[in-house]
Amino acid sequence: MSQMVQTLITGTLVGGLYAVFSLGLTLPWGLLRVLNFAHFAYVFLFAYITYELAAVHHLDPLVALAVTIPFGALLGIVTQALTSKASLDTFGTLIATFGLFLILQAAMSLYWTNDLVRIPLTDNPYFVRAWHVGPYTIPFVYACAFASAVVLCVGSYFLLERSYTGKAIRAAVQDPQIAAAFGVNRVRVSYLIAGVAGTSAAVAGGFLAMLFALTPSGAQGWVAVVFASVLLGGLGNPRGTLGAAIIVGVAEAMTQRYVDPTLAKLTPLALLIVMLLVRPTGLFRPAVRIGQT
Amino acid sequence: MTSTGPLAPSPLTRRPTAIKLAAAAAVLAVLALLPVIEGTGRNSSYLIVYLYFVFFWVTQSTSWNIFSGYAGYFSFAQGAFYGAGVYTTVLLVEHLHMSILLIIPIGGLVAGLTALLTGLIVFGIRSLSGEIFALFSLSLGLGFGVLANNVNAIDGGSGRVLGQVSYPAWLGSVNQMLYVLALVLAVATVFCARAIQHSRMGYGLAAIRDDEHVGGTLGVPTLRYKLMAFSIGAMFAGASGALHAVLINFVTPDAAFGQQVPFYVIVMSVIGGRRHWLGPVLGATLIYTTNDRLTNLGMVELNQILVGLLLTVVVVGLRAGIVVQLFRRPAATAVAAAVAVLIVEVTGRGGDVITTFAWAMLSGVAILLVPDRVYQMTVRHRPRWWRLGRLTAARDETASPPKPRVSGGLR
Repeated sequence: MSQMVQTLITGTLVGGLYAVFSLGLTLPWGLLRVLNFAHFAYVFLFAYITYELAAVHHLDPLVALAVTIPFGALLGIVTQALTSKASLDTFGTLIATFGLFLILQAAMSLYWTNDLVRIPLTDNPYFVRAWHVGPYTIPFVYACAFASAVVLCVGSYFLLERSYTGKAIRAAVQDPQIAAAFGVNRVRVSYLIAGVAGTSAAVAGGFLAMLFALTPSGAQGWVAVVFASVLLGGLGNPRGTLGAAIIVGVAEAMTQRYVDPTLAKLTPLALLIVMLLVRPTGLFRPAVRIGQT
Repeated sequence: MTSTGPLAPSPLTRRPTAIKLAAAAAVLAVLALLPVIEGTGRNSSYLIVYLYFVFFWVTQSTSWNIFSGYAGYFSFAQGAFYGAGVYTTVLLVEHLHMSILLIIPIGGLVAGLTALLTGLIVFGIRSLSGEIFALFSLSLGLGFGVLANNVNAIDGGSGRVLGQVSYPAWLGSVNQMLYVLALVLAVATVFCARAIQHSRMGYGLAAIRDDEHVGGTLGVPTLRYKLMAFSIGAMFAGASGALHAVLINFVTPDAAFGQQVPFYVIVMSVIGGRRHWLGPVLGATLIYTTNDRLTNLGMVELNQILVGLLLTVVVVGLRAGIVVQLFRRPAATAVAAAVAVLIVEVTGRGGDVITTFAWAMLSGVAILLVPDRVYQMTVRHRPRWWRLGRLTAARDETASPPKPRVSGGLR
């Protein structure tokens, strides 16, 4: 029983990390119709920058996070400015940003090489830190990732659904022309969303650097998990993404613990397929429905 | 599905002229005779190995394009079909010692049936969108990989060594056999892709790509066309995989069902152009050749940067791939390629035939990537002899068609 609860806790906390990662993909996809595949490379770029700051310049990894976040937001905004200039459809943005992904990945392996790198424990004291609650262990970094997932996802939920700005965003997504007639500045609104997405890339990258050994080709390994969380969570729906990411994380942890560790990588996709066959509308509603896309 | 801009200026219905037929026959004759003159003069025996790989990628990307390009659904299942072909060879050679000539059609059949079954399930989903289909097909390859890794009858995870494969003696050495069979497969695949594009089914697939609901309402049998195109493409992918197993010889599930094949066929077809049968052929030749040259020089990262750059530039700038631009500027491209060959030969930097070919293609592509505005400024002042009759006249003067705008979403 206690093993079961421990698996649940681990799965939920891992789900938090997945949620931070997925948020940067789902917001532009659902709200801006930009499917930014380069997001995977962005996260790894920020992971490497955090590694560089912590391992080479001996900065505290959590302080490094504060340094990278503004750059993340900036990168998100620049990406949005460029993709909107190219005026592609969703699949076009996927392929174009995939090209960008390849370029960034190659650049990373040129600079940091393909060898696995990891922040040494002397510079990353958080890695071994953990809280013990009764018989259960809560790793510190995962808890931080989960907390930031809650902050980011609930924050963007309030931004989208409860604020005046959110109303403007949703209006601009549903009908850009009418919204513009009512004075919504869609360029500014789109930069806001892209900025949040870029922030998520920086935060996810920071935690990745604290938790794992990095190699540029590791980015591919996240594709299945992140796409599963995004699609289960409903496009552009931050609360749904958090929920879906936790479901994916728990399912993965359960498979790893009780079924077969080799099947754990397949769990998110299996989950996604079952959901699509049984409940094609998704577990959570997309943030905004646009006629036919 | 995905709108890729207006159709190529070359109409679908045009019959091949005598010149085109003669050109195709000449190219085929040279390629068919190459194994005979293997290793003579400047062409090293590496040349036919290189060309084998070109044929392999042409077959793979053309077979991908039959469904994914024409109908606009992006499939990542290419690895599953290719891998099915590879493992058909492994199992048949191991247990029955069959001849490769028999194995290739069986490999194609296995892959085709896999695609048919998958299609029956996947296309039955009502709210199937392009993104969802892409994920489904991705998981097919991953699922096959896990299956092969865990089932001992297939592989069990340790990999299999193929050893000797029997084939008729008149095919020559192993490399010559691979070359000839790959050439036959590539020609068959390209011919089939061309026939489909010009057929009723081709129009139907184009209708599915542009708007499936409208097409279905107007009487296009969308499900049947999708199933047929998906299975035919998979068949060629499996047949080509069955042959490729002989070359790789040491087969592992991770390599056979990995992401390399699906990833490369998509890149090649997108860069080449997905709406015309020639697109994947050009894309595969271009990408494989630069890949081969740069990898030989040990510049793997540079190659990846080049591919990424080409992908982004083509998608943002050309949308419909380089083949469309080639139809607009055939003479300028040919001149650029010829000049490149001349420079490389005179300065002696060429070394071998493949390097010269790579330079020629890259400079041709550079001409194709010049934006229309810049290109027309130079073209307007060109001398009279430059206008090579029907080939370029009239087409160059037409401005580039307007970019399609998509409603919805913030721009």
